[in-house]
Amino acid sequence: MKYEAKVIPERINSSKHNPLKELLLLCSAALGIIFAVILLLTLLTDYLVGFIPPEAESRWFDSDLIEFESTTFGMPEIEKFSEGEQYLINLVEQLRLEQYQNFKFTVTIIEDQHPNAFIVPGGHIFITSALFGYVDSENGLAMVLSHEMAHQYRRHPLRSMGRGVIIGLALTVLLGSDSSEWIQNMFFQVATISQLAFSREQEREADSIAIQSLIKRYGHAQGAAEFFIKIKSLGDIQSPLPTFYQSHPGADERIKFIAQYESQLNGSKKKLPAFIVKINQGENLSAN
Amino acid sequence: MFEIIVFLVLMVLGYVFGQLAEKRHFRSIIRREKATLRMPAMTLKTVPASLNRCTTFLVSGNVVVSIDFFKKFLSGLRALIGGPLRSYESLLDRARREAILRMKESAIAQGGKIIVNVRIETASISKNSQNRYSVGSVEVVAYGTAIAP
Repeated sequence: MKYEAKVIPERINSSKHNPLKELLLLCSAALGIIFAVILLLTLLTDYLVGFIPPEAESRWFDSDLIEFESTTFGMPEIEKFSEGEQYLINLVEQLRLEQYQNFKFTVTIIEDQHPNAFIVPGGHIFITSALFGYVDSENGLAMVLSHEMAHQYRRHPLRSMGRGVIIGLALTVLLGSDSSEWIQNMFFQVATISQLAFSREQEREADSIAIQSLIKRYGHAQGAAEFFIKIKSLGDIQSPLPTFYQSHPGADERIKFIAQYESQLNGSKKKLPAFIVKINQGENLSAN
Repeated sequence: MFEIIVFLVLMVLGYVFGQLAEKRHFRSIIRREKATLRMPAMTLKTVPASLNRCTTFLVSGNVVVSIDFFKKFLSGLRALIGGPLRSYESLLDRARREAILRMKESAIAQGGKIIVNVRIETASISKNSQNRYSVGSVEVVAYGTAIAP
């Protein structure tokens, strides 16, 4: 037997490849799949939500659940606001569009220093006390209310919830527990970003319907942009994040959108009743 | 947003330093392999008859190499689709060749001329590589019987 020294040839046990090219390929493949899955599931949820009548939705998400939710948010309901809530409920009825008579709404005022309004499945609208400091007339408040109502007409809260659940489930199944946290994180980020795109689209849709409700109720859209103008002037909403990372379109975009309707019809704005104005001034909160 | 920035920084750092370290390591491996070329290391199970009267002793070479963040992420993506894990191939190649080199260098230092019955074992260190901040590493040990005249 004879030993011969041989140099090991390179690139047999570690094949030649460009890691950046591989990263690009794998990322685009993975993102392509995830976008397709999300799109498909979104269409599916939208389709399924169509089969749930609003009455069934109100039954599932009744007030008991809302009480539970508001305590989990750490924002207890305050009985003292009942006068304001009654006024808001009346306003809701005035703003309601005829074709949506079967939708139920409740309005709850919650104490919070950030101006905000949101709606959860079942037609439960929440308005923070600080928001009343951001509108100068009933028309401005009506815009906020009818915007939330428009979300419900289009079943946005239920859709978003359904999407969240279904996409979350799908991603968990798809990724399993084998993949690293960073990969899971990346996929959930992509899911969030695409969800946010849907969210912004829903906001635009709701703004557009809300304007119609205002024109129907008051005969004009004056004051509709009040809330956005105020928020913009205070710089609260100017988030440093790029648009694709936000749930709402920018204040500028919304003001511009509303302005084209405001200029069409003229009319006078209605004043807010004193007890509504007081809510933000904290007089109702003195007991705390 | 903060997470994305952390992620990108880790990816860039992993790629730049990982590639630099790998290139440097391969250069060193190739140079040292040439230098130890005259030292046979083989998998024969028995000592050749002509060497029956020589001294024998155990030699081993051991190395631990860590993967970088970039490689780990790439492998995670690959795991979703399947296919060759190229990003790990070079890692294992480096580790095994380095372990053999260290074994040879150890044999040379002790006056050995030939190594027979060479075995290579691979183990992965840091099992909980699911954890986002832990980066797995691989341990390779090569051992064999050195023969000295």
